[in-house]
Amino acid sequence: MRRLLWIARHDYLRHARRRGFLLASIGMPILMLGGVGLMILVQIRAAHAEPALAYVDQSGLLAHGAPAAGAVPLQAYPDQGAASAALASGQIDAYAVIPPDYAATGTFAIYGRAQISPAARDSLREALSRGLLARAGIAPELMLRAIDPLGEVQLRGADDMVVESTELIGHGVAAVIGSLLFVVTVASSATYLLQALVEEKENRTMEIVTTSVAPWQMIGGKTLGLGLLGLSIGLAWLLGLLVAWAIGAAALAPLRAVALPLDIVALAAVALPLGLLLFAGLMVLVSALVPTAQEGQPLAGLATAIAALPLLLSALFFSAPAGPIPIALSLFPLSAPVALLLRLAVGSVPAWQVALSLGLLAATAILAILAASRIFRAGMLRYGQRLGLRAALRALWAA
Amino acid sequence: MMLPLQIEHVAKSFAQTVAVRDVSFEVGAGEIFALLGPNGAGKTTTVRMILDIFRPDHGQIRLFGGLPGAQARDRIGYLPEERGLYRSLTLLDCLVYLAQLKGLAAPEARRRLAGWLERLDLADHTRKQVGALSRGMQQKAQFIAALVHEPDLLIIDEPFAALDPVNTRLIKDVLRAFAARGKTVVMSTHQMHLVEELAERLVMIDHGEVVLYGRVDEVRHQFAANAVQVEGHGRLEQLPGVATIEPQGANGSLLLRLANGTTPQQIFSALAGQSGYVVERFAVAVPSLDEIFVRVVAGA
Repeated sequence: MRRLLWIARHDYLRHARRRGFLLASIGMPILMLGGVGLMILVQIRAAHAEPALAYVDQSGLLAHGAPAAGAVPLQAYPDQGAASAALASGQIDAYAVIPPDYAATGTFAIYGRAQISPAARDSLREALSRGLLARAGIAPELMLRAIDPLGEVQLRGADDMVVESTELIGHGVAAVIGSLLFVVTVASSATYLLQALVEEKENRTMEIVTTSVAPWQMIGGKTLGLGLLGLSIGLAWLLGLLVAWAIGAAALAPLRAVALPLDIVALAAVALPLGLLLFAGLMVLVSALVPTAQEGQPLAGLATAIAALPLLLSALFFSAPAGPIPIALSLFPLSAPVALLLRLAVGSVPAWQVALSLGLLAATAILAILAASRIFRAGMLRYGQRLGLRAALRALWAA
Repeated sequence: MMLPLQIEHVAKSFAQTVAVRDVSFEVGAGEIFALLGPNGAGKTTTVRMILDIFRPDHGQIRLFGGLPGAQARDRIGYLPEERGLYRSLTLLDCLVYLAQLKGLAAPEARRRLAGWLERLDLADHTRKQVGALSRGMQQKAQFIAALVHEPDLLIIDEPFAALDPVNTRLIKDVLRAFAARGKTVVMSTHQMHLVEELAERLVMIDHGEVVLYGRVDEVRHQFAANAVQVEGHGRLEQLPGVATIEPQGANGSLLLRLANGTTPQQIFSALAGQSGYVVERFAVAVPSLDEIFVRVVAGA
């Protein structure tokens, strides 16, 4: 066990010192922080750059006052002359003139800016809707429904329990973060593992290592060390995301409302390491079969693409999480970790499917590692040569 | 007493290719033993079976009385023909890691390495990247990696490749000192003069089978023709029992091929009776291992 840990430490440090690792680890967190910073900047700019929209109401529709709920306040001017003077003196950027026949024609003019912002447009729309509804004799309690008929939609799960929209967002965020973390970890670990094993085949250090430790120690050590390396990149990304989230939540109200669900986090904690183990086994297999790292990359890429397939088909998962394709992908070991998380994000998954999926994933991971140990033994010293399928199968069945 | 290495009728095939057909030999403690054979004869496969990288299809290998595996792994040092070090690591880090894989704790590995690096004249290069070292330095570093855990059995494949005469002598001294401590060396090489110089016994494998096995001097005598080699000056008269006289090189050395029934002792006496010829050197002519190798492999 001690040698396994030495190999893990050696491989971790050897690759962690490379420039590519540092770039992969800190590049994305910097991007995330930059993205949140940009969002905050946009909001600050929006808050400061959106002064009240002035209006001159010649139709009498807004006689009851401008709505307070609008994002951009509306400021009444008694006549176009006063508004025009305010515009000329820079007190306002623009003003709308609602003509007397607006109710009949629907036309009105905006003076000043060529375009008003969507938020100002929404404020004006709501104010005019209220005025028109009031004139039509709609009771005030119905007015809100008429303006926003879907404003109070209640979401309920299959168990009739109310699901808060922030909870749904939390599930979705957790599933997508977990899935991305898995795909990033798997893709990086797979690349590093493949690179390390084939590199040691190419530079002949493999022969020294294999005569010093047992195959399980070598493969176990490399899987652990390089798996942790991939996980480090994933965790660096996660840390970056959490910091960005914390900064964003302090400034952006929608982020504050989202809470991460523990059930998805717990499932991720089981499924993701099992998936990582499975991919490690597959990469050891690939490295035994091919003579150079370049030749192994397409196979590693294919396996990673299958792992990420549920993310690409996320629309299917969010629209019909219990459909045949999401179920099949959540049972297929390579795609199971991501598919399970996405299905759980949008609905409940039957317990037997979760158990079967995790069971298949664990069994396949163990089989992959065992097969990898045997085939790797046969292929590790074939310098510059491929291990043929027949030879690989023979090695697999050999005692 | 348990022998460090016993190989009994081992065979190994890869698909349709027979790499080792039938190989048996033993190596005793404190011996420098040569494993010889042409390229593709089965030497490397035999070594890899000893190291438990491959398992034999037939036959048995015993290391220190037991089967190859975990219990023997740390008692073996191995210098492969294809050198392999981590080129991006510093020399010291690389050697410490390889020593750790052989079971040494890092502080102990550093302590031992300090002595070895000094002895093999690499102490000034410990902070350099392995890739920046010359081939000869890398070869010596690999040699240290094979020896630092003080194995009981050292298996070395072409140990003198890439070494200059000074370093060749250095490594020869290390090997002799190692064997003198009762430890065993199995050496595979094509440099036959070094086998003659270092090894006590040899096995030669060809087409996966043992074709020569025994003490180096006995093997050479076994291949000796009935001839003597003479060096001297003066005029050599006709000698009874000598079939032909062949000049050997430019130093006046002569090869005297003897007729059937004539012994070297008779020729020695006859030479002593010739007043016109002064003998400076007389030896029974035995072929070099190089000649024997060519004759055996070529089927001559």
